[in-house]
Amino acid sequence: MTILSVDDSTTIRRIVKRTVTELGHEVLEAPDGPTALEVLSQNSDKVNLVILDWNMPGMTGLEVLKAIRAESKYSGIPVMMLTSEAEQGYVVQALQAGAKNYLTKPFDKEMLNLKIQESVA
Amino acid sequence: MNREVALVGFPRLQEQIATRMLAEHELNATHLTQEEAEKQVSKYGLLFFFWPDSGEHKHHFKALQSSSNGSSPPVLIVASAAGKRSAMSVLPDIQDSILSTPLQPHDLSAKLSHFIKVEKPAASVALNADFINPFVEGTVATLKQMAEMVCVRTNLSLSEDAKTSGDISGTIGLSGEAEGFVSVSFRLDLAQKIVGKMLMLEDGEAASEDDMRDGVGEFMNMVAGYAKAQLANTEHSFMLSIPNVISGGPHSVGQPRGLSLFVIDFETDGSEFHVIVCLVPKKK
Repeated sequence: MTILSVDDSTTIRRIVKRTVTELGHEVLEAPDGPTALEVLSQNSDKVNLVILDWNMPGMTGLEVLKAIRAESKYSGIPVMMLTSEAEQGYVVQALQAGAKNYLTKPFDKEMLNLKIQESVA
Repeated sequence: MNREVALVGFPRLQEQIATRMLAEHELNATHLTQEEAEKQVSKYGLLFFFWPDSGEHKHHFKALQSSSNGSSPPVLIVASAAGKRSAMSVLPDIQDSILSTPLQPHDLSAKLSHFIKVEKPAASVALNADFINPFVEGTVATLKQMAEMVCVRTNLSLSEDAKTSGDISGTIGLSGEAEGFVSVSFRLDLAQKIVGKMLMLEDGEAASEDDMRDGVGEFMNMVAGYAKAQLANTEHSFMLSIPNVISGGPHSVGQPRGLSLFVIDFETDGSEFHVIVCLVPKKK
């Protein structure tokens, strides 16, 4: 399985990478929305899940999510939000825009594993 | 005690800031031109002379001092960094009489206490647990979940000083129904430990400077995000800015502009760290 991790924080990308690679999966990374869309377009046949932050400079996670869901070629790729935005309104917006799962920061690694499994099931 | 203060030659914005800060010390400020000040100097308990960035102002300042005949009010200078250099170049013995802009509440309080023995009345702000607890809970949860470390809150106090003794601090600006900032400040060895655990580094593997900056910023982001969710739909609800990390100490984590800060002390793994919260609902 290949996961695209999108977060402007290198700390979060490294935590995701370490957790996911320990499970035997491959990770691609992007520090912002435009880079994420570019990486996805070049790897659309291999990415199985996008893990997406909300607050990033330039393009928000919600905008990236909407851009992904607007492309029919990505329709089979689930998106999981991983964000410090924990209010119900944000969760509802993300799910309505097509996110499959939502995990708030702070998180423990077991919960991250569980949510990843749920998202790709 | 004469509680009348003259602001001599102040630009409009600086006058407003100084007037508000002086009012917090129960002092009345009056704006005067240089000429007015020289004629009325004896009416005042203290004079603030605004020293512009450029030009020759030594004789204006000296004229004020001589008008006071040495028996009445002290004259302090308010100046920007450039203005301060200009003043010091012609009056090298006045360093203790200069206040720098932007005016800082603790600097002004110190000068007022020193020159006219005026202390700010004790803060009457009640410690509001409903507003502080989300930041305490967010700190405990972030440390536990991201670094598998347990911390306890050891103290809560009010301060007007945003200076911290920590070596590295992460600050996030807050805006919305309430405005201000929240900051976490660590000693370097504790920050190394926390960030190392967050990144799941092996024993003996040290977090780099970039790791530290991003890790401390992200730690603060998670604490603020947790509190944001808890305070949603209250008068303290806010939006988050991108974290800013400052290292090297001692340093100031924000500019409280006359507002009180809540300083929350924590202890973990035998070391202390501090979360500073400045969050004030907008006046409606």
